[in-house]
Amino acid sequence: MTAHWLVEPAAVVLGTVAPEQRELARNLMAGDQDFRAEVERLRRLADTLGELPVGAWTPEAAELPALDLDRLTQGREVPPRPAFTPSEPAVARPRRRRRLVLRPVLAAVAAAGLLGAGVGVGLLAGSGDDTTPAPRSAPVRQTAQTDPWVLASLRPLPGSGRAAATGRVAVTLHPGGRARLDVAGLAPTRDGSFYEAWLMTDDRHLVALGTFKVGPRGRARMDVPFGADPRAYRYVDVSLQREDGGPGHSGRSVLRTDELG
Amino acid sequence: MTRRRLTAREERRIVDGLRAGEAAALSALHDWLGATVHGYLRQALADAGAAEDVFQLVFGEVWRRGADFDPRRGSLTGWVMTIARSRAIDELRRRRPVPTDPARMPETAVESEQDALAERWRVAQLLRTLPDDERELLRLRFYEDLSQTEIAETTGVPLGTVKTRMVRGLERLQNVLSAERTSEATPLRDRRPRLAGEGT
Repeated sequence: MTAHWLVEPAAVVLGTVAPEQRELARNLMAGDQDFRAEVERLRRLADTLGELPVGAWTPEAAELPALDLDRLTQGREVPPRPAFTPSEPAVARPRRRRRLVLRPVLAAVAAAGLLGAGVGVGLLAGSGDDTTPAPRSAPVRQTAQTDPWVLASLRPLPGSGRAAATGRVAVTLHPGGRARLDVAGLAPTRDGSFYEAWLMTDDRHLVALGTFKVGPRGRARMDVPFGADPRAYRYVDVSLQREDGGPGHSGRSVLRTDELG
Repeated sequence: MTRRRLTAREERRIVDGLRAGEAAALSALHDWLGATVHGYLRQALADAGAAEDVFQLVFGEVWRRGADFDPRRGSLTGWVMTIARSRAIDELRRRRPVPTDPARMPETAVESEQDALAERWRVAQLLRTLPDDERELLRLRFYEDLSQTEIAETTGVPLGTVKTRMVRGLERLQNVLSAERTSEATPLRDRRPRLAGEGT
């Protein structure tokens, strides 16, 4: 579609036009209607990409509800046909997977005495049926897909000044696992500051998961290994830290999960 | 990203399986498209429990109407997202009180809002057709908001390669989107599966 132009319209949208081609790009924009239209199409697509929500880029297998196939497929009569036999599994993970179950819990207000209180709904990993064998061609993230995970939403804390901030965190439920965190709506980090995620029970029982910076759009993603046993902690907490501060928690929490359970 | 993309042949097998009433086809569709449908519903409904309920409704409807789906009328992704959008609007309308001020036109607002949201998630689904390296660079650019230089530093990929892959990824995504739209003569809100026996 774009092969007949010496300048790629996508390069105009992405701002990657080489200096020696900029004059040509300007001329094409001014004089070639098709080129201009293609640039506009791509620009709209780029705008859409910029508006995609957190989960659109990094869908987590753990939060996908399983289908109740037995119930859903009742009652439809169809003519006999050869069985459906995909050439290979349509997706490289067990079909029946660990399912997350919503369970209301009262967060222990006192347990978070240092940083505030949390009351709400916790997401607990329920027991699933993982009897389906893994596909022959194991994907890179096979371990992440079969490990028990806990997935929880991060909510802004009162007084953090970021009431619109949101996020979610997924933590493998064993020592030496991984933690993945996506946040949005946080204040961009300034020079000398950063955000830090923690596994935490209270001000004396906490361990750092990792640090991250937030850009102008207020979003960030962190994917880190950790050595602690997350079952020994009650929350995931995100704090705003100063680089000239100590290694401990700053006391300025901005996001926290409900009790992990 | 956890889901690999489907080939055209695999998509056809799912379509054939749905038309034939094969439960494995519904399961394969769930694996392939479920995260996008669920992500859309979670955002549209802002209620995890309701999103899961509607999610089951959507796939139940896909199952019941699978025999009616005509791939000549549009893509499988577009069809499923249209069903998801409709069921999301049903749920949102169910929650809302009857409007007392006609000037507010809440119904139109809901539909328009859901059109835009469903379209975004449809693009999100199409992102999965890109090679991993191109998709990751677009994510760093549009989600992480990194500059090309920062992306090069973060990934260790030479700056020139970053630029080339980003351009290629954006063009490839636009081509996939254009191909889908070409096969769909009508906008998202007007599309519905054509019933057997209806005119073409």
